Amino acid sequence: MTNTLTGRQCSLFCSVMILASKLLVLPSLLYSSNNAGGILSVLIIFLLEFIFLLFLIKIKKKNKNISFFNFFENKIGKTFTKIIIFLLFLFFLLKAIYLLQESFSFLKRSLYTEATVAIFLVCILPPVTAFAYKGIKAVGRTLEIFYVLIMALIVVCLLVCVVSSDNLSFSVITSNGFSGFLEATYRYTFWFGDLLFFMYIIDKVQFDEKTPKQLIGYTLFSFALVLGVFVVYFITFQTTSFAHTYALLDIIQFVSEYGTVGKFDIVPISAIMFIIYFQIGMMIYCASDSLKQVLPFGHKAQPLIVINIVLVLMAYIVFNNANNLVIFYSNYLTYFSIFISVVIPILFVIFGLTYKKKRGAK
Amino acid sequence: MKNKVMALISKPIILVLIFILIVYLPTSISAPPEGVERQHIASVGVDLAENGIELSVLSHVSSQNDKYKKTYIVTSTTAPNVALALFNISSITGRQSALTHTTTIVVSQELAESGLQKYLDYFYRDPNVANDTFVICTTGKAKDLLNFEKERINSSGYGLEEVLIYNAKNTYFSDSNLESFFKGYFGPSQTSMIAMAELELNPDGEQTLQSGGGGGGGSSGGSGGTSPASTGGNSGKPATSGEDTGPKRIKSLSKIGLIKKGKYLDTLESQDVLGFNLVTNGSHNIYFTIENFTDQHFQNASLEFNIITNKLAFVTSFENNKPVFEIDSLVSLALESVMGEEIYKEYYYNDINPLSTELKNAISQTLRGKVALFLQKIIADKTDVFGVYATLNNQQGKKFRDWHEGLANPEDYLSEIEFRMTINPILTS
Repeated sequence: MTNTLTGRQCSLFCSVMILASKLLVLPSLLYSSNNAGGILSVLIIFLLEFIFLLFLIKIKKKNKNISFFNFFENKIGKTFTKIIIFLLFLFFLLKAIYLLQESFSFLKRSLYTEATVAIFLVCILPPVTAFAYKGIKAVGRTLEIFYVLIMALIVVCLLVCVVSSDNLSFSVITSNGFSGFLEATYRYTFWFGDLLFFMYIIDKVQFDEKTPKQLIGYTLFSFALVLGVFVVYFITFQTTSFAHTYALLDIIQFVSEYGTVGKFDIVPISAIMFIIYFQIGMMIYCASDSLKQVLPFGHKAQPLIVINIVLVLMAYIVFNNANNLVIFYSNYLTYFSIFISVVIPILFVIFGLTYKKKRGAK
Repeated sequence: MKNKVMALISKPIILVLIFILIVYLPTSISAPPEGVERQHIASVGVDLAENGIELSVLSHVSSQNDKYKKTYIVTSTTAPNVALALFNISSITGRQSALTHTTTIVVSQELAESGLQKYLDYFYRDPNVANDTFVICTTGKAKDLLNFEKERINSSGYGLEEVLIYNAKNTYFSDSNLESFFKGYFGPSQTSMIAMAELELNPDGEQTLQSGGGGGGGSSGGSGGTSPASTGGNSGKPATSGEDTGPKRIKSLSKIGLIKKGKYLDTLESQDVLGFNLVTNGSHNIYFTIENFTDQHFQNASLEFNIITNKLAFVTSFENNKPVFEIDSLVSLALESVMGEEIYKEYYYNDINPLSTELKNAISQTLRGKVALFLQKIIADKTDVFGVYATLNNQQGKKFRDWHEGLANPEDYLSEIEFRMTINPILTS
């Protein structure tokens, strides 16, 4: 079976996907919206995502090899399922576009200021497309090799900052109050909902006794890591947090003792570079899987070709203005994101938990 | 063999690799090294000019030679803003201005008085400029300080950065960089601190300049982006900056400029800086003198103490609806020198430990006096430079914010707060 994952590989994917799009621009966006209180929005969304994960584990235990398409088809019929899957396709495609754009801006600034969109795409699209084309098992194994390195790099960044900082306090209570918290949570929902990928691989994971513990452990570790980055970021920059748009890189650049260890930049850059391959690859995998369910493709490469064409076109349209993309996602995609990140998981949980009963009734 | 090659190139990833090599390899090989096309700016100086600013840069250009030593030059131009000035500098030197290695930004006091934020904004936004780039203010011209730095680097390889690192760690224990400036600017009291460099005429400088160091070359007049400009290099011409001609050197770098809403307001003199250090966490090696002291060990002696460590705790409360800010300080002291009519044997055998009550009181009184002077200054200037607002906000929360909003003049909140200080001195061997 080339398209199956072990429980540990699945846990590693959960852990890596939680970090998607949260270590660079998001902290500054949340600070702009609700100052350091932005971390409360992250906390509450993580709590919801964790509850979703617990339900996913329960559904998987109950229904071993049923795909999420079956859960939906069984309850709401083929037509509505296809509509929902198409919406999910859009969500993953938009996520992939955002991640690509964010990575491009980040690498352009941190590594190679004269990088062009073409060079970037040539470097990143072939491997992530191969990921989606070859199946998830090979990538799962690759992730097992790189996971420790990725996490160690991020932990090193945090430790360096904590050790270097002479002020380890900040206040999450802001003058914006509860409305500020709601505003930040609502506006930046798109930056979350990364555990939705689990629905796509739920029938491909080999569960054993250890798997639930592994899933919970690795997921909580990633939650802690993201919250750690937020805390260190707010402590480090305080009132200027809004101006630092690449959190993980900026905290390292700033705490580097007067630039004497300037080359330390390579730590966050490496972490982000490794991580984006797995994240974007998984987004494209999920988008491709969705497209296959919605449209009748003859070959498994065809949806990937369509997705690649869209990504290349979008890259040339939006990549040179990161602000426009952030404004679009935070202003025009809020309801869409809430529907995808909140309503669909709720539906999935309901359909998954009641699936067996209805099949028995048949 | 043919089959092997065909099998190899039939793999998509090999085709991608071949495509990348064909497209990018020739251009990469034929392109000159990027370093050669750029001038690496070590320090930037910004002065006010008639129609905008006079921007000076201390830079070096990489070249392929057999010498390890880099030769630095100072280049100046005038322009309405920093971006245009840097563009002019590039056109003068024929090299792209690279700010990646910039470590210091020098501004003149005159420019700081007109508002720093509008000039530093460019550097803060530029991702190539590190946020911990030092920002210092000079009482003279920024260009003069750059010329001084150039002489120093070219003769000893020792730049301003090293001096500033030392001072930040040992003289004023606070940051004076882009990030700290904007943190203060966007903070609740809109106050920042900036290191001050006092300049004086360098009597030995002319000799050095005539020996081929270069004088920086003054530039004046003009407007927009087309003003005349000149490079210092090895021209040997002395600086012609106007009123005080001749090379300058640093007279002092131990004072701190107070910046309110981006504009220079006042200077913390050395005595005020001492008071500031006493209420700053992490401060050490703070020297102070107790004059004409008499107890069972000393007779009319002048005692020079050094504070080895200073452990601080800030405790806040409300009394009679008024915030109270208490500073508890545990200072570990070393008696560095005793100047009196006679030699005191006890001092050598450390027999004055534990300190007498008289000496403890004298130390406490002296240090409290220094802090009081510093507090008087920041209260008068309304410049909260050691985080009184942040501490009260963190510890008292909404109660403090409500009190602050209820003030007739919220900006002048420091004058409404009661400060108390307790000092517990202990002597280390």
